Amino acid sequence: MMEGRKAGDLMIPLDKYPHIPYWFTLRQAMAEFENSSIEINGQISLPRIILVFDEKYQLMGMARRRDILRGLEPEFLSGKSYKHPKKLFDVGVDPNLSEMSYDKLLKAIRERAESKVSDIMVPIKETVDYDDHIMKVIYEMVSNDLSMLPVMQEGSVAGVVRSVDIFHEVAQLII
Amino acid sequence: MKWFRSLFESRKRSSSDSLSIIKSKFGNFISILDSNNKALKIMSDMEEKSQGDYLFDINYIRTSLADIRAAVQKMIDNMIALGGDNYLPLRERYRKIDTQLSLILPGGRNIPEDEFTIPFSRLNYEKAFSVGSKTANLGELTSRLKMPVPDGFAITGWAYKHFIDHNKLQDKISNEINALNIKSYSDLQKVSDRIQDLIMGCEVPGDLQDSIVRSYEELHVSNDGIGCCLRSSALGEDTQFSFAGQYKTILNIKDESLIPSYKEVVAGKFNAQAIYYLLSHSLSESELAMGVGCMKMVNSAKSGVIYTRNPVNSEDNSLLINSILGLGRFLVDGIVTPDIFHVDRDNLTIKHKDISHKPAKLIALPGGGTAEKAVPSQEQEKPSLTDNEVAKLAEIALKIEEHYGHPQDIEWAIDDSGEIYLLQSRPLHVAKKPKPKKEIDLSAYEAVSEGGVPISPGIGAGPAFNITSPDDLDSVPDGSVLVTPHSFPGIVAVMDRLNALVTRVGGIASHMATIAREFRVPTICAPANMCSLHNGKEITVDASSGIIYDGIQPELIEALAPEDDSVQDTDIYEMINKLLPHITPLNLVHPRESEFLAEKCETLHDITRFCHQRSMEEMFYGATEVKDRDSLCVELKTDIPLKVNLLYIDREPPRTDRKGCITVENIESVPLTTFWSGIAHEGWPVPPGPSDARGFAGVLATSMTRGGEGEFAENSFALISKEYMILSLRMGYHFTTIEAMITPIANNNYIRMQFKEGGAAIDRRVRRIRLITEILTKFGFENNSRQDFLDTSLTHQDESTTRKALYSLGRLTVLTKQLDMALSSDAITTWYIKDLSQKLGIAEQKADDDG
Repeated sequence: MMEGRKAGDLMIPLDKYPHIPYWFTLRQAMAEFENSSIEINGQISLPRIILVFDEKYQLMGMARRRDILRGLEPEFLSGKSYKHPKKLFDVGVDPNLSEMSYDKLLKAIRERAESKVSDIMVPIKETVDYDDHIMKVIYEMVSNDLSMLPVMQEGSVAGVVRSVDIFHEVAQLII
Repeated sequence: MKWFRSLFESRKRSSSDSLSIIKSKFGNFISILDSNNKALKIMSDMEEKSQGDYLFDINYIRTSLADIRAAVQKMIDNMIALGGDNYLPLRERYRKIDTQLSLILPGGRNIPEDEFTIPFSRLNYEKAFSVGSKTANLGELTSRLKMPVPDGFAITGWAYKHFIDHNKLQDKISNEINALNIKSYSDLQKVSDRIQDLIMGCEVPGDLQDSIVRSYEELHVSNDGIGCCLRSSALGEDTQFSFAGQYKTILNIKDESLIPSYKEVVAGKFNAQAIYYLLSHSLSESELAMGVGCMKMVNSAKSGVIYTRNPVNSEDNSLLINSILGLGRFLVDGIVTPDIFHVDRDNLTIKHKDISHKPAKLIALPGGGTAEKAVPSQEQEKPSLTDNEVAKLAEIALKIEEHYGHPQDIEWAIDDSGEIYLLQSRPLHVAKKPKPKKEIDLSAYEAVSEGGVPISPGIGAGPAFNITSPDDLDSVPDGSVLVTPHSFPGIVAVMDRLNALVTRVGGIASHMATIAREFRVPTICAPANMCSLHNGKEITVDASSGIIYDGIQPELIEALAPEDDSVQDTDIYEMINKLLPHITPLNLVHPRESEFLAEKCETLHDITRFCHQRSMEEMFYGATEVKDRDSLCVELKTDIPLKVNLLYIDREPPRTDRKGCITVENIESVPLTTFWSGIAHEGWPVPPGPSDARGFAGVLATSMTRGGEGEFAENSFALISKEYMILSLRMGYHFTTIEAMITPIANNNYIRMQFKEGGAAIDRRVRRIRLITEILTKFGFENNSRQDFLDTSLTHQDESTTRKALYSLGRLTVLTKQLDMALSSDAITTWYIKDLSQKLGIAEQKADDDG
């Protein structure tokens, strides 16, 4: 059975998957996370990633929960601009060492929440094709350490395939 | 290259044609809004007046009605110009409604073009609008009923118009009348004198003179006998309003006095009491042309008036014949009290005769003119008619009544040879006999006088006030009971001040009686003991039974006053309440209903509502279909990556920079700048620079996109004027058309938006429509949505509310730009509704704030 399964069979169509335009704020992205759910075969799950599009409805990137949290982290905690890519030798600031005022922190986070999702989104590194075999999907996920891949069909994004669904499919065969 | 240039030029021509069409349509549209506003204002004012808390006169109704008519007609004309022949049925609807209004309040017609003079033999009642109903009725009696009417001819309203136009009189007359204070009789008299002098000083145009003289010659008036009489026959007279005795009749004129007499009758249109009557019944002077009837005089041995019913008691089955000796003028002017013969309508027998004392009569002199002559004493107390004559007159009168199907007031004369002639017939207003509200013991009240003749029923009380000539009229106090020896012309001017009227002589058939009944002033004549009614003596006049009681007796008034004698029962309230059902009710409520059609307009309000709605739609679609608009536009330069072309429809566009651009600051369009400041407030999303993409290989298109690049690339455009805009915005994959009018007048103001399409899947687009609908509802918009299409509007709000709403709509436009993409669930949609409401400052108050 597994030999018959393709990326297209396993994907969540784009219209069922949460996505937002790039100029939306982190706050709006969070609302999207908090208010969306994905229903597959009667199973409801929460999205772990949302897609980011431009005004021409072209896929620009994606945002995970931790990307958003990174974006919310006030500069006085990270010591670095949130736009600064994490480097190997960056020295983190121990939050316990900071003088923390709850109000100050909250204010800073709220300010951060108004920044654009395009500031924190991560680029799409790989895609799979609608007709790609499941093995190709597994290969791309593992070798690129990805839990989600956009599925392309005739040059357009048709949906996404998640590691959780691939895992489920493989598990059906094994256990 | 020639072909190329010609191609280019023809393209340019068609563009500018298209622009000039849209400009002219815009003119129609603005005019519709303006007329709509005017009409609505008058309607609500009339409704307020009809509630009875405000004072107004008939002039007010006249003017209001004329203004509404003008506004509605203008709307219809502009609607047809704007939207084409589809709207022609509005004319038919208007005509129907207008006819209803004309039946209630005649006038407002144009004077129809006609011959200057027309003989009675060629006249009938249908000619009333051309010759006046008095003369038209004589024509009807002559040509249709073959009744004995003296020969004569009509001088038409068209002839009157020719006379007035020839001498350029209308403006001068209107100015005099418009400046008049109708409460002052002496003012009235002065203005009247001035206008009459003006007319008498004018020349009757030659062609009109010729026509009158020719018709006169055809009457073959003998040189030695008596002549003709000229009678007023105003257009509109005797239809709804009697004008009884208000206008001039000149008896026994001949040859050379004919033309000056014609002028005199025309000038008589402007005598003081006629002007008062006109204004107090809100009849417009300029609409009432003065027709004149010229008729061979009857050398009357006796004459009088027949009422085919008892005008003060509808339950009485009698026909009343009033009769005096000589010419009838002494009767209608109330100088001689006539004999009254009560004839049973069923068998024409005389039920009862009131024979009066007739000391004098008026006779026609062979050389022209008239003279009063004493009646020989042996004839003074004798009945003026034989029983045979009474029967003949009654028979004729009933025939006429049958012909018209309505009780008649008929003037007649019998000449020396016993020949009967009919001089006039007009509808008779019959009053219902008032029924007392409750039984009351009348013997408990002291009667000052009994046996008066009731000539206008009702009961009224107040201090007596005696006058003997028109000079005293100005001093008549409000709320008095006027006591006068006989009727004289100016009395009509004080009718509305009187609680009751008592005269020594006169009768039910006098002009004053007709007027008193119209004004509902309780009136009796010939009471006993009249000399005891000295000035200031408080009396209560029960005009229904002819008794005058001592003192002011409120219980008596309460008990005997007719049941419906409320404020609202006066003529004027009755009038406005009869008119309003054809004006103000709104049957066409919602444009979405299938009954929202021109054919369904039942009232003037329906027509205005229909035109207002449809004109917005016509303008909306007309504007979006302008051809080649890009070549006619200037471009709006903003910080926002949105190209908007502007098309000025009320003026030349302002100067542009070298690239043909202008900035927002230079736009003089309140709606566009308001809307744009809303957009600018939110700012436009700026695409991330290359550094942000961080190795991002490039964007990947999705299968969601519809329409493709072409649609996306199309420019937005706006048609603008100072107070108006229609903006068609391409916002990615959705388009929105926003139309707005912002003026200081709330009724003109509106915002309308149509919203369609989007890039996301249908369920997300539908969610966005839900979101926009819910938010706009909080701003007072009325929404009509179907799937992912929204048509929403806000109307009739004041300037600042409309501006605020439009500004917020600008913000919302940016805030919802491609928001459909994010609306993956109903929950997130609800979250956005709350979030955007907070942003726009329209979040609902918490429940505990309400208390």
